[in-house]
Amino acid sequence: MAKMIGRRLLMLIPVLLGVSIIIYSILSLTPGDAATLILGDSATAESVAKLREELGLNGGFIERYVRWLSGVLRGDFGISYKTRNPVFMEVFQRFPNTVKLAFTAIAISSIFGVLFGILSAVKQYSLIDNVVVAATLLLSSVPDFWLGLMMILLFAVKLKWLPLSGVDHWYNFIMPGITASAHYLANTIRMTRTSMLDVIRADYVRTARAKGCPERTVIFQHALRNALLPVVTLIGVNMGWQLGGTVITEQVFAIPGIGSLMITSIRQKDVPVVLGALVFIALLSSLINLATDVLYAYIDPRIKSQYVKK
Amino acid sequence: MKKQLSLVLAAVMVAASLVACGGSSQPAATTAAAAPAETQAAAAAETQAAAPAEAAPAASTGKTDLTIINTVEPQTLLPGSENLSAGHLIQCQLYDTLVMETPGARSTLVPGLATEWEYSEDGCTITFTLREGVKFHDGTEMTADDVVFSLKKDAEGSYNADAAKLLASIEKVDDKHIAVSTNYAYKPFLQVLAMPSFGIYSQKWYEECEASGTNMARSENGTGAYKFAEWQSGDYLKLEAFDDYWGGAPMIKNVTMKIMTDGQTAALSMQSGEADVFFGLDSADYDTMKATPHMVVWDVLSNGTHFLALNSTDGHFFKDNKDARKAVQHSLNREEINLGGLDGTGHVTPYPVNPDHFGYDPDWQPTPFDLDKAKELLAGTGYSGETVIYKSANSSWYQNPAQVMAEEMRKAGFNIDLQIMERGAWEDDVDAKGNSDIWNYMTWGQFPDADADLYIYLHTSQRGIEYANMIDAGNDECDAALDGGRYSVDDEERFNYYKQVADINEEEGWYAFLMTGCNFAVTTDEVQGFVPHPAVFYHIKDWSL
Repeated sequence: MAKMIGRRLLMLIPVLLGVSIIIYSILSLTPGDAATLILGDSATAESVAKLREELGLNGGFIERYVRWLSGVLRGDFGISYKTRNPVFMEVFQRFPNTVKLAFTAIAISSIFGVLFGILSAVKQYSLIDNVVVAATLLLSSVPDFWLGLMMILLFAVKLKWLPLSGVDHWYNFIMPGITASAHYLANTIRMTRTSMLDVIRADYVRTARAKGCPERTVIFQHALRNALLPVVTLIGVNMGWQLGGTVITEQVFAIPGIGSLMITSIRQKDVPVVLGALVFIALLSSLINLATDVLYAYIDPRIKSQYVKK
Repeated sequence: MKKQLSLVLAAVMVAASLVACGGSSQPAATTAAAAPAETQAAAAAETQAAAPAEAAPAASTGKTDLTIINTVEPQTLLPGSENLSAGHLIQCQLYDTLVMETPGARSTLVPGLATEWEYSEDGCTITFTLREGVKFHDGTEMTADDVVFSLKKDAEGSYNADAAKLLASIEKVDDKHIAVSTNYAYKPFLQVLAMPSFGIYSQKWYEECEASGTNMARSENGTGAYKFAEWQSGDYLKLEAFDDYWGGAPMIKNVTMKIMTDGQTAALSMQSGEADVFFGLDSADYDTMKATPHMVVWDVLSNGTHFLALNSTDGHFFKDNKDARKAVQHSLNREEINLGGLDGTGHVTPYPVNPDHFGYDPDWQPTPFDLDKAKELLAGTGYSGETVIYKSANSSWYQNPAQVMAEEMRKAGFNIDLQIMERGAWEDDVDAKGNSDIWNYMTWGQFPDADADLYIYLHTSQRGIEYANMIDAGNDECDAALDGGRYSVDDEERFNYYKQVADINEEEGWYAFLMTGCNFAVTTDEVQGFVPHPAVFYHIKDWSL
């Protein structure tokens, strides 16, 4: 197991290097000049040239990339062109908000997804099953921004039950959490339902019932544990996506997270911030994938046995 | 069963949408809400001061916390380098200038950190008497050295690059006086010094920041009515009242500027009662906001004027083709452009000078819209359907008017190839290189004077892709009029010079000036003392709740 983890951690190096090269190339090849964007229309050619020099934009593409990379290797991700704050500070100031949003969304989609998925599978073709299936269809078809805006109109503007914006209290994340979880909730319900339907027809489940096990034990101890593997994969993937910044949700609810940081930085051609944020997200996604794989081993002893020395 | 279920679910979804989107059951608009917008809309040529008088004053609520929503985040607190109005708004609170604009009457300047000023005989030097007992936010007293130091540093900033060219020297005369000299007598120079980009701060603070590597974009030590408290990037910026302010402690004690880049969310936030003031209302949300109880929507005339540039440089369609340029002028129906391009929210202003700036002539008449004349002129040029490239940036501010204008020119017989480009790409290709036969843009006079509006676009010394005159506009006669306006100190003379410039431009057809847009501001009816300002130079110390 440790060997597998070590190998996967080593693989992160080429992954992160590749991500940074691709992002750097895209940002360098797209039109728009950071100095002109920062200074605006009133700036003279001399002041634009002066700022370009200050920001280090005058060197060649490779020279600039190597300079950035050598900084990163020394733990320096550079300075934001726009705010003049260190990139590290910009990213980590916003990261807690993205984490709060991601965990709220994952909690909602995992808890309700697994619960309704089980219910739907156990009560297949019942009214409950039909309602759940229809609801998943609805949740996966409704665009995030529309759902968010409708909730804002209803709960913040009309009823005034919830605040529209802010990140200081847990209730600030109720509406954004629901919005960000909608698609993932639908996927988790579907995945749990399908997986459970496969498992509850299996011989060992029939055997457990024949032995006289209570239905609750059959479902939660025999069936669910085996049905959970693909669901865990899905939750892991969802977690990676959520931590990468749910751009639309952050925009709609004015949450200062990683997603909104990247959008504004891309618009401003704030290359160091975009690079820093994306490399950080790539690192995080890779680590979550690794954690998901490790978790498999604990859920399924068959997988664990593959990593045991023979 | 499934069918019934689907119907029930569909009904629930539609009902939820209707509940959320449904109109308010409250009365359509309060008197206070309706009055300012209507008054402003009717008064294109009048100053911005007219509106607030119409608004019914509400009783004071006694609140001391003010929340502002802005769709744009400031870039820096340091004067001289900020080009965004959101940043200027904050700088107005943190820093004072030597002289200050009067709310509602921009050209009337009142004492700020200088109590009085005196011109030298040649008009090139102004000696300012500094206000005594002014304190910086760290409690230290402002000195003449601080003023000289900060003005010099401000002049080095990118935003002040043009103004800096005027400056000859900034000197301390004695402990109470400083002298600012310009290279020539420049009538609107005091107006330049009233911009927040010439804010005064402590020399000691600046030098300490420089020595310690403190980010000056995120700290300050000015003399303004508010001091900087906190800035969470992408979230909010907070200010606190400065109790030792020389003008007396302001009534509003805490100011929070919330950053909401999504205009729709920002509008909803205002409607939900989370804020008192909102800058950046989209014209699409205008009617909804106006109909919201307790909201006052202000039509704040923009600082710039939309124009169409016809490129006469080598290799471009309008080179040596005055009749084609005139044909374009005759093909433009400005009312339609305003209606289709800005939802009718702009003010048609064919005069090149902004209605809020010195030199504006409300009685001047442009080339009339005459499609037949346009076709006749175009036919006379021997035009045989060559493609005319029209590149526009993709923001609705530019793209929508461009689509209307392209269609109007097509009706006159031009074969227009309208290319809508991403803003960054457009700036690279058109704004920086002039790679288009036609484009539309906006003048952006930094201070309210015709010289700031016109010189850079029409003087021959400003020709070339590194300057603003990228279409080879201008001639000797136009230069003489622009120079006359710049170097004269007589208002009537200056006014006439700029009228000449407008006439020459119209005769030559270099630019077609179209309209001034509106930057809407929304306040609740609790906000007292709000006077619309085209450049967003608001002083919150003058407001109350």
